[in-house]
Amino acid sequence: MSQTALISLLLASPFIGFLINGFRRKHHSGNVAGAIASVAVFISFLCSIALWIELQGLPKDARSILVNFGSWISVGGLNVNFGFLVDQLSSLMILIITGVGFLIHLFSIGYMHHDPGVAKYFAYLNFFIFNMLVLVLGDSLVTLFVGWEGVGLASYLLIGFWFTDKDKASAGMKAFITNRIGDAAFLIGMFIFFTSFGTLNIQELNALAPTIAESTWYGIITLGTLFLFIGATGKSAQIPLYVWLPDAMAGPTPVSALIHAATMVTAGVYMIVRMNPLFLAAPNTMLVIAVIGALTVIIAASIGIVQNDIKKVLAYSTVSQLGYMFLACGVGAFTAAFFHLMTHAFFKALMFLGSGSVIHAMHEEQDIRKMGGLKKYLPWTHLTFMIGWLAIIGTPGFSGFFSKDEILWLSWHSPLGHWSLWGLGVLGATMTAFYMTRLMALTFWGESRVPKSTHPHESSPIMLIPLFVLAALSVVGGYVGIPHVIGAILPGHPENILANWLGPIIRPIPGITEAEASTEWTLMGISVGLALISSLTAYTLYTKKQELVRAMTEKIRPVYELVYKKYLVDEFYFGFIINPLVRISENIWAYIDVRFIDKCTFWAGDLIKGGGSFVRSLQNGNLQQYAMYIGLGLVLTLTFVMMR
Amino acid sequence: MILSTVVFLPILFALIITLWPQKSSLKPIALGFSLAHFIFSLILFQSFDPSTAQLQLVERHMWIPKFGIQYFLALDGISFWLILLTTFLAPLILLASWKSIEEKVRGFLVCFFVLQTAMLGSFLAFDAILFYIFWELSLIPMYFIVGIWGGSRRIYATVKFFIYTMAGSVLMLVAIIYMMYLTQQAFGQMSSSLLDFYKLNIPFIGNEFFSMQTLLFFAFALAFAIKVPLFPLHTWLPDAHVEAPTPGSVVLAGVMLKMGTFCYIRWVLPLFPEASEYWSWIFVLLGVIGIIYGALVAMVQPDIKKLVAYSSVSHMGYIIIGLFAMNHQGLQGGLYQMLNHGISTGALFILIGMIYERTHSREISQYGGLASVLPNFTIFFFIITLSSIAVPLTNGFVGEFLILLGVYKYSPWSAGFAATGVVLGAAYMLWMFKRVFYGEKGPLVADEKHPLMDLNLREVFVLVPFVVMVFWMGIFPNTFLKFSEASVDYLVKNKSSYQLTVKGEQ
Amino acid sequence: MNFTIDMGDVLLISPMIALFLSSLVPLTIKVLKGNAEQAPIATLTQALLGIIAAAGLLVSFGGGGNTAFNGVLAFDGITLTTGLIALAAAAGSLILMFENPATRGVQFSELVFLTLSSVLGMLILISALDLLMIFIGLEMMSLSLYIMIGMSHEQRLSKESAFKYFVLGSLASAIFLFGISFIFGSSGQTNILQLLDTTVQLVQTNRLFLFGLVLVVVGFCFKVSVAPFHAWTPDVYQGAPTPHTAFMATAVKVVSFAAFLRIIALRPLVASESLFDILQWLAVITMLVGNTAAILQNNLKRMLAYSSISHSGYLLVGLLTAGISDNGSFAASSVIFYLFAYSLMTVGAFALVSMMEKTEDHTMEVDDLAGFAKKRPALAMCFAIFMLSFAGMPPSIGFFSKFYLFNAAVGEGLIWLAVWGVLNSVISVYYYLRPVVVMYMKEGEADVSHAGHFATAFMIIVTAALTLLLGVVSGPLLAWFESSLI
Repeated sequence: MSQTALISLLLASPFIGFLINGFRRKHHSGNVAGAIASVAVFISFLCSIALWIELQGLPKDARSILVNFGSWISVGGLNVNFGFLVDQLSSLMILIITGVGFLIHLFSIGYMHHDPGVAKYFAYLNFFIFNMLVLVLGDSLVTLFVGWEGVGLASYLLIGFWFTDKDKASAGMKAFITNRIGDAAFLIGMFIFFTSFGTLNIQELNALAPTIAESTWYGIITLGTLFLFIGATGKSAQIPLYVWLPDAMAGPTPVSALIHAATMVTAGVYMIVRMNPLFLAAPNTMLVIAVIGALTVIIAASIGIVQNDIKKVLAYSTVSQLGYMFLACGVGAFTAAFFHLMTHAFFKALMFLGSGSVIHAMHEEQDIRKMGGLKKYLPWTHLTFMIGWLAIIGTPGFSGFFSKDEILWLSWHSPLGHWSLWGLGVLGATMTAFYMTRLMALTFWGESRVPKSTHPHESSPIMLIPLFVLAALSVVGGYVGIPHVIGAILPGHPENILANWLGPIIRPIPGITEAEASTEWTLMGISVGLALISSLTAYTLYTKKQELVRAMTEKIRPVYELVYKKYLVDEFYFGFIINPLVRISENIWAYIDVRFIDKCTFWAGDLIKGGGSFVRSLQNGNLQQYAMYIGLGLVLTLTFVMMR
Repeated sequence: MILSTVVFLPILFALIITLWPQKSSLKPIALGFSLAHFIFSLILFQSFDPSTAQLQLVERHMWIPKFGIQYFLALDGISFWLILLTTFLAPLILLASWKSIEEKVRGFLVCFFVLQTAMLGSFLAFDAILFYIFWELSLIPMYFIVGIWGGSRRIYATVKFFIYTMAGSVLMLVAIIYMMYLTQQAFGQMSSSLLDFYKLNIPFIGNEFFSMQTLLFFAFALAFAIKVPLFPLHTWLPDAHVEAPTPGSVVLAGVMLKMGTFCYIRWVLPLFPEASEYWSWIFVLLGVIGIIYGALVAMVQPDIKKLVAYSSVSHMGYIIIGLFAMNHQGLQGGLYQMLNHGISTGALFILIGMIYERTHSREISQYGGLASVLPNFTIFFFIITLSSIAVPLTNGFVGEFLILLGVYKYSPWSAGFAATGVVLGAAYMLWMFKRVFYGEKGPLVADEKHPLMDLNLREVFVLVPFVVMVFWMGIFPNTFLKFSEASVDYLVKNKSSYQLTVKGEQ
Repeated sequence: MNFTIDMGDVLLISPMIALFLSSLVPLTIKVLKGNAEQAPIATLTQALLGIIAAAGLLVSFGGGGNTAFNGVLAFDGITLTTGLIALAAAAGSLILMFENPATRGVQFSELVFLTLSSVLGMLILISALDLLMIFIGLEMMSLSLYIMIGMSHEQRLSKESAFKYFVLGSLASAIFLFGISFIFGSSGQTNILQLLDTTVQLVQTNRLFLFGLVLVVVGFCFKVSVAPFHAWTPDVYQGAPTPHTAFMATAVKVVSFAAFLRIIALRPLVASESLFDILQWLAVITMLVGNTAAILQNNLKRMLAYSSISHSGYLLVGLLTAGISDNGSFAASSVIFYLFAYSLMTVGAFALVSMMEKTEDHTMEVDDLAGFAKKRPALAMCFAIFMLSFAGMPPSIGFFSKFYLFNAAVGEGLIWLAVWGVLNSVISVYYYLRPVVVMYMKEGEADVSHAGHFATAFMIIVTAALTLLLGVVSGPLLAWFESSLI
């Protein structure tokens, strides 16, 4: 099968699935719809594999397949094609998307089968996959932007899937509009690059990216990349635009797993990695990215510690994990960023699906304070969830460990990094270990707090299979990127496969030096150790010493409240931006439009009418008076004429 | 004769309809006429050559020799799509207003067709006086449509509309007369032909406001700014829209507003290049203000129709800044946005009309939960909403992207501020969408006694063409852009020495 | 000086003779029948025949530019064109009189006699080359008019307005005559032809002459109701029977302007800067007064009266243009074209008012038109056409007349007057739209039960059609006016 055909099929099959389910949504049962959708995605998955194999066949430094479906917009200098680029990066990305996506489709069949709108649900899901693929494969920023907005739209629809509930609908709206803020910035970024480089094609831009870093803050590349990054903060839920992601949990849980954990939210990271030469050329931007990332890590983590909604905890953990990825990008460790993106896709999708299984079992109950001891009801869910937990807290040997460790190490070691960034990272890791253990403890371990009315039951196989697969991936996923130091001591000295694979398209960090193993070992030890300690504490606190926790929270009640209320960021946005804006709008409408502009018009009219009534008052039907007017007029005229 | 036929066919229809014996068959007849008109206008495709900026299908006859007033119609890349937009909308509008216009049908149809002629004429006229006649003529039928078939405050709205627009255009008339005398000085023979106007080079003194070109420039620009409408001259629009019957709103938003923006390209930019360059900042500023202002005010409207009306103010702001950026992307984007706005806002008004026919209310607060009651209606409304908030692969995106890109070249700051419109646009549309279609069922929707019917076949027939256009224009914009490419290219390249020639004439 | 009357002169004045004779016909018949009215239709026919005959004679002998009686009467373009317009207007008014409750029936033949003699006066006025002749024409026209108005079957208003018109008119005539005496005293001339080449330096050198001239001009300003000499207009127009109002608003105004044009053609405006300035200001004031006052009127006739004042303002602009332009023919022809268009619309509009009047003392309010569009769609459309044409909406003749007028003004550099004019036309839109709004957009039961005036209705439709169509072909018409003026 030719490459063009492969890519066409890759893109077409989910879209066709979307059309079928969209148009026949009333005419077939949920399982049929689910089957159609899953098959569609599975075909894409096969295509991705085929493409990946194709790439293997190509020489190492020319591994890219570019397919151009013709010109989209061409005006003056601007020329945008429907071009799709499969290279080392995007090939992996589409594998993740279609692979994880397929699993989540399977899970959804089980999870959604009772829902009346299931066909619509699967239509949206396929629609999302299609747009995500466009985003990933787009060869120009504009094509990328198509997918970029498309996934935003899909997530809007899926978050508000149960739209009869006002809050869910609002959550969808909030997500879209917050993303729109980022998108506006993204547009500006595009304009900056187009006006200075005359193209928006990603490969060309990367090629044009200067190797000498730009030192000023007002430089073209710095500004452009900064605006693109703002776009990324919207899509990938970083400070200050992360607020939509927790609310996005209003959507069905598999959606949270697919869109708000595994794929869409990582689009920002992906975009930066794809444009890495440009970003490397703007160290100031990199600094901003790193700082924002690190801050997001700890702030989100700290909020995660106190949340009681299982999905909210996972949501904040997602935000903070994304923070790690941006931290990695910021310090120039693009490979590490992508590595973490991948592993995170596995274990976070796993945990979300797991939580879905739990919620399913608990009859839509999401409050972990009402759970506990679910281990015996949901053995398989517990097992898989635990693997995810081990992975995310960075237990050596699990996927999360490798990727997170590489990020931390480079944030210390990279010339773009700094010990403080490392410090924040480690702090974040410690917190992660704490709140994740807390989640495990409150959900699965300890004594049961499940109300007598609900009888939890293990989910159906079709929901469990994806869990198993993802669990397996969460374990082995890490071995594609074994750090050099570890590889050195392992038998056969395995290479860092991922680094080698991505090598040709990732620019090396300028001026990075060969590190001595000892430091790396020490740092690794520190982070792992701290994680271990904090998880042990959390375990003991939340399984045995609940009352102690309560006592502690009582002591620090105000702080606790503040953190529990997410540092009042939403309140801030509403109180200081949105509501004032609405009030201002009402006022300008009332005052400028109605009271001022219209009034002016009326005023002019009244002036004329006034003149009219004056004339009328002179017109009183009195003959002598008329004669007088004539006389006066005559005299005036005469004087005027004769006096000059 | 093609252009004359395109322009005056509707008048003929109007005559036939006035004399048509039985009332019952008027609507089908009219629909047939408008369809025939549209199909006829498709001839333009094969007789128009997009590769050149020259005037085509020219018809010029001396009309009043003393003043060199000619009957001069011509087609070029700039007017091409607007003609087709006008003829394309007509049958859809008639089909959409099947139920909403019940009494005085004959009069309505006559007004409608006369309006068609007036609008087509003002797009095609290349003689100042001829243009002015069509321009003013377009007021009268619209005045009647709003005033007779409109809502409760229709008289206030329609008189406001009439006087606002007329006040703008009379100064233009004086300016035209003045320019006719300029042609007399320049070429010995007085002429009101636009081509001769182009040949004039009118002295321009930059910082001097009371200098010839500046004054003429503003005389024209004011007339068009009111029509567009440009902030702060926009207040007639919401009233007119809210009071107008559905077909009225659709024509108004779909085509009439375009007359204003179109004339900036046809008249203002080429006739007064230096002035347009020098004063462009005012228009970009007002345009940007209009974008943000319109969006903000739209956000807080309690009435759907008024919301869409204010969104028009916002969208027209985009067009204006695109045009006054005076570069390739800006102008093309502006032209494209004219079509987009015609399609998407027209469709929005039709949709609102449909729901109004069912519930007889446009109060947003009265709705809610429509999506579960009228699924198909919701889908259509949502697609149009997407095109209105410029989601990629819908028509709106192409226009807005090109405009913003062009404006960025003109001034990054303006582009930055205009880009906020991208966010606000999404905000007010989606918020409205949420309040109307999502959430619990509102009083109007929940009413068990007369449940709401979803779209019937007629309405689907009306809406499908719009949706097709939305995606076609979003996915294959080049098919449209290439028709205006040559003309825009020419305008950009010779701003200051704009000389249109007639195809096949030396 | 010895008088020699030759055949040529008689041929030239044959239109007047025809008019005079035909004006006698109905009276004579009435006398012969022992003071019994013959059928009004017969009277009307005789009168119309007379007018047609006059028009025919005018076309065939007049307009050649030759003078009669040693240059006392001239039969040039002005005479021809304005004469025809006046005759047509008179015919129209006669048709109205024939059917209007305030004028039909009793004493119709006397009315016709007076009308025709008034028209005769008009013909004298527009062909007069001697100031005294002009005065005679004016008086002949006005005196018959005073009586006509007084003869109305309506008892109160008409008498009052007749009286007002008479008193003020006499005052104006006095001023006019006074002016003539000054001119004669200072220049020893009353003949325009002789004054033609001396005026300019006379004005500059001789104050008395200028004084006299101003008086004459003011006299005309009264006749064409330029503010502040307009005060009589609303009252008289409202009080007079509608057909007479139509007659005054059209024929009288047309011929007065024609004569005014002759005075202006002496080019005093070129000579006296200040006279030019004051007249500009008068024009400005007149437009404003007319339009602003009209906005507030509910009485249809009164509204139209004010609108006719504002039109005098526009016309004055044209007159000024003609006064200063070196190739006066275009400006003058634009004025005459405006007069033509204006008369067309005015006759039509008043015709509708007249046919809506139930009884002789019924005063027509704007709101009486509510629902008229439903009752009489065709006529409502005609009235809408008149109103929009008054407002200068293309493609009606009203637009073209304004276009030509302001075109000429701009050509002579009177741009600010043109701008003022168009702005005023925007104001005027407001009140011209009101009847349309009422007819089409207000619910109501317009009472048309009585209105069986077929001739009037027919005339309305014809004038409306002309109003709509003549605009498009106005080019040749204007060209003809212009050519005839050279």
